Amino acid sequence: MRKLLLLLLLAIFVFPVLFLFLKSITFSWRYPDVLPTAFSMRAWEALASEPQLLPAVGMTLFIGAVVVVLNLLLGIPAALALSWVDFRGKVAVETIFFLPILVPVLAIAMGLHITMIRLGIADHPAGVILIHLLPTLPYTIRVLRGGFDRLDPAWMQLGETLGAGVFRRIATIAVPIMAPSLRSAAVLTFVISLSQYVLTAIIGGGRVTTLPLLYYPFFNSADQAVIAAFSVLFAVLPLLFLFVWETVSSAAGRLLRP
Amino acid sequence: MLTLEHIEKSFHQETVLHPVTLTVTAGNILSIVGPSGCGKTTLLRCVAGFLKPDGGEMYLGDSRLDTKKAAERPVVLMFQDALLFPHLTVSENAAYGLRHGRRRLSRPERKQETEAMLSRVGLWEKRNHYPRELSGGQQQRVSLARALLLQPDLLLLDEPFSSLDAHLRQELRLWVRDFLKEEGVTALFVTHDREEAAIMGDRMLVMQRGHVLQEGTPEDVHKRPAGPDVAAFIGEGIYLDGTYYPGSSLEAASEGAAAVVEHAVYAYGWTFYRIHLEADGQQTVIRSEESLTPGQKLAVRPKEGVSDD
Ligand SMILES: Nc1ncnc2c1ncn2[C@@H]1O[C@H](COP(=O)(O)OP(=O)(O)OP(=O)(O)O)[C@@H](O)[C@H]1O
Ligand SMILES: [Mg+2]
Repeated sequence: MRKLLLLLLLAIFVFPVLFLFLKSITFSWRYPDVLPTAFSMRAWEALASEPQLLPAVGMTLFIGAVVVVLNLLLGIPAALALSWVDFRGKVAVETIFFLPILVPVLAIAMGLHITMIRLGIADHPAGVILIHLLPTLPYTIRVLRGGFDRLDPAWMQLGETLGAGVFRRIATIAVPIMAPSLRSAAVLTFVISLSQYVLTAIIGGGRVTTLPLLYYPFFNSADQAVIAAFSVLFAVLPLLFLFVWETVSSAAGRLLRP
Repeated sequence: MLTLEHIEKSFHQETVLHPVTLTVTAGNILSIVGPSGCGKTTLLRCVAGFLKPDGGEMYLGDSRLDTKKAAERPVVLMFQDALLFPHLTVSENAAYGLRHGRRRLSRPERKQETEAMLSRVGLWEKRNHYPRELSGGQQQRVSLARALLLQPDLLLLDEPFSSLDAHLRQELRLWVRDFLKEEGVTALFVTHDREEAAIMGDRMLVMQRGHVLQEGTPEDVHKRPAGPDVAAFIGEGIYLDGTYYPGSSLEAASEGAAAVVEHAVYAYGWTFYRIHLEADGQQTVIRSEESLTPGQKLAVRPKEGVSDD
């Protein structure tokens, strides 16, 4: 069963990336050849020679990271309240939190754009970061709420009666137990932020250049190898994010083990 | 020694604890017993520091307890469930307080004390297992090890066996009582089961609707209940004309107080019958040579020449 699942995961996620990678270094690949017959690094060289590429990757990572941090900062209290606290109008609040996903974000973005121009954060990464909260925060709240539902408050009280202070209780009980939810929320947020084109284009006004803003115009070029190389880059960024997240969290986890 | 003086607590105008006063001498276990909802958990949570009493004072030894925060009190509360941390192994669970809690030790000391304690509770072989791989009784033993490694001045136990099956409960009760006595732990033990209260406590305290009805040794409470309420809760004897008679001093007779048989109880090779008085519903258990059937009416009276002892 486990093996089957792993195979399925490989088929769905790894195989397409491998295929894209292969395609990106292909010079000639025609029917009926199973594998390419000639290779070339031309597509990667073309990418590397694109002067905007590195700054765009940097901007994408920066915006993604800040959006993840903000998502956690805002999502944790909201999810905590929805899960642990009973208050009147809870269903209404839940619906409002989920609204950005039900209403076309574009409509909201247009309205927010005007506000942002007044505030002077349009055409600026800050505005892009704020607008990226719209398609991400609803998912974060959902996912984290599930995490809090599984975190019995009694565990935290037990930590208290054993004499652990509030920050220790959070670091050694709440965070490890909620680790899967935190990871899901962070990766989901990062991927959603990474793939925003329209929102970034509108609010960024073309001056905040992220990877998708470079990527989509490339589709006009018919060079499939270059598109493939670009796509590989796209696929690698979330993996990189996941790798950093896992490394940091497992190091922290080891440090705090009793 | 723990002293509670006039501890009061209300929730939304509903008084849950009328001033409760009690003491537990060092190294002793006091069982608190009473029907569901009488305020036992509320009292324990006040002592642990999770609830703030509306009035009264608490002392542990010479120092005031109720002015400290829960994490700073030399007190550990054990909940109804073992509540082991699912992401930690058995030995990491047991060592939690020695690493993050009130009694921080160096790594080698931690390891040594944890392993010694796990051996004592018989779970050394399981030290690298995760909680989900343990039975309910084993989990409670780890939970006890985790609490006792902190060397608390006071241990609070809130119905720690109620989620276990009857057989295991009986076994673990005796084991835990002996263990606590060996360690010389001062403890408050809460239960709604009067038999458990009598087994676990050096003394027991009967509570009802937030009032303390009686405090004394289990023998006192069973043989000399402080009033009809205690007698009714204990269910071992009845008041006839203002005098208390334990079940053992009553007999079925041709005349006496009218009673009805509820059911038979088979224990220790004898057959007993639980009966209630028709007049006021008081319950007790009597022994009878002749076999009785549920619903059967009879009369009971004090045996001749038998004192209530
Ligand atoms: N946080 C709270 N808010 C409001 N009322 C409460 C709260 N906690 C307890 N109560 C009320 O206080 C009363 C006593 O509750 P408590 O939990 O202390 O009873 P208990 O003796 O432990 O009962 P049980 O044997 O069922 O555990 C109950 O009527 C309960 O409804
Ligand atoms: Mg209770």
